[in-house]
Amino acid sequence: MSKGLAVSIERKKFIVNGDSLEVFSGIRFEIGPSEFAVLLGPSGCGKTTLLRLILGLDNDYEGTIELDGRLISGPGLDRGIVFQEPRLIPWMSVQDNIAFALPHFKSTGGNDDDQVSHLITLTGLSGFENAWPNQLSGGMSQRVAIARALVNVPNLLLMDEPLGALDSHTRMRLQRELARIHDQESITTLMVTHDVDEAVFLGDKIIVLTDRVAEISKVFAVDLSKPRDRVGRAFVQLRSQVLAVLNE
Amino acid sequence: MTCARRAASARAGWRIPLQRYSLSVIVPFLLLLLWEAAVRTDFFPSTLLAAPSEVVVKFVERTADLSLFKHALVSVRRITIGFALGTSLGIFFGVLVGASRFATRLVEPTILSLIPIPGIAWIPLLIIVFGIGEVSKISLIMISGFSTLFIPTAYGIRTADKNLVEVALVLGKSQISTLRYILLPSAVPSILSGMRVTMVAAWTLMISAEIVASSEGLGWFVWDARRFSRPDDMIVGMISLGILGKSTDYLLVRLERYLTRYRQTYRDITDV
Repeated sequence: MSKGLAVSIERKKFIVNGDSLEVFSGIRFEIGPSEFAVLLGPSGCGKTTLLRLILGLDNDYEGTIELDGRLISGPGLDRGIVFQEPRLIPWMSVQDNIAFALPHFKSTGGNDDDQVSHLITLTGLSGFENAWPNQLSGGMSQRVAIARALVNVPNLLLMDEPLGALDSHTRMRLQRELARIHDQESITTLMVTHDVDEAVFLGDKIIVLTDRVAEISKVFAVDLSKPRDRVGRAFVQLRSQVLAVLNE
Repeated sequence: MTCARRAASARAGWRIPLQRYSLSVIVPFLLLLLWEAAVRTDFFPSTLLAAPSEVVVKFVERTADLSLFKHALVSVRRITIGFALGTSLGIFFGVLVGASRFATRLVEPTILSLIPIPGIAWIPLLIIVFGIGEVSKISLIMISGFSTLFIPTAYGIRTADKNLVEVALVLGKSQISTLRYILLPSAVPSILSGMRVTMVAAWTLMISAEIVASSEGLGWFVWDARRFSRPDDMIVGMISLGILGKSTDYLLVRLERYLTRYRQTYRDITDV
């Protein structure tokens, strides 16, 4: 039984106005245990579609996706997801939003268990437990979404451009936080982004996709120590290599 | 007016509430004065219309001898039972139809073809079936409550944010949990504005029912006073109805503000 995520998709099609449109063909990659993988590709190349397949929201494809040796056939708590928008439940406090992911969630309180408070501390939300989502900034909201995705201690954390809607300052700060969280929790992670800087800063492995029909154009193994120096020579060099592949 | 100016004037209003309220009092005061004068000068004969001063005296009298309370209690009881039953049924079927395609196919066409029948048109049928007792009045209010709440509830459920439903799906929540934590709370604002409309309709229908067939309740009190040329009693009854109607609406507004306290809306910056 192999650990980690193994994706092998022969073909995925969409039917658009009666015509079949091929999204990807021959996408194969693996993510090892505790590895932070980044999926990088031009906008519209099918990154989000790929995440939906791994989440089990869409089973209509040719191929297999296995997590820790088990075939994925539907949504499950072994995978946590952070969407591009925080998607917090407006009528639940920060604490309840995180606890909502637990299978035994109760609306009547009693959700302040150890795991929830651990994540509140981990994601830097202490003091905001009882705030309403609309009182939070974009960055804070996304922290709650990350905590919610981690509360069940998933085998795989999926993130769909989680920092895409944030200003550049908050984004860089949350990138550092994500690196720290991954370092502390060592959960296998797959993050989708179109930001090369982000990919090189966070990824142990960078998978670059081509424009549609999407294929993998190159996989970079990132051999830089963390925390990474964004202006260091190796960083800048790798960054321009990735950019070159992306622009091919 | 722009938002900023509106907010500024609201702030000024808080600082000098006296000026704000004294301004609002002018028009009613003038109207009352005109009315008093019209009766005193026999412009309106006192057998047809009572002067405000007489009404005040009568109001105190009717409160003291408890007859106002007696009739108010009868009416409030009818409203409460009818409203509770009607809104519960409306919300129940609205949720069912909003959440399930099977329920939609099964009952929605029937419900939608009954809703357009105005409440008042039900009165004769209800009297034939249930007689002139409490049941016919309560079921009239119930039918109207059901009709008014069904559509906003089903709409509130159907227009819940797809992204949030997807979150529940990804988290493996059951249909019951999704309903309880996502769909139903999404429908709360439209359910509560539906309840306010229902309450207004409930008072109107109850008064109509009390006029047609009753020997107690505020509607009967007003109509009886008119029949026996007691214009002071008639207006006392009307004022009581106004106060009670305003009270029930106020309760619903408080409830709505409490249940939707998680959000910031236009009214939070405008003080409307």
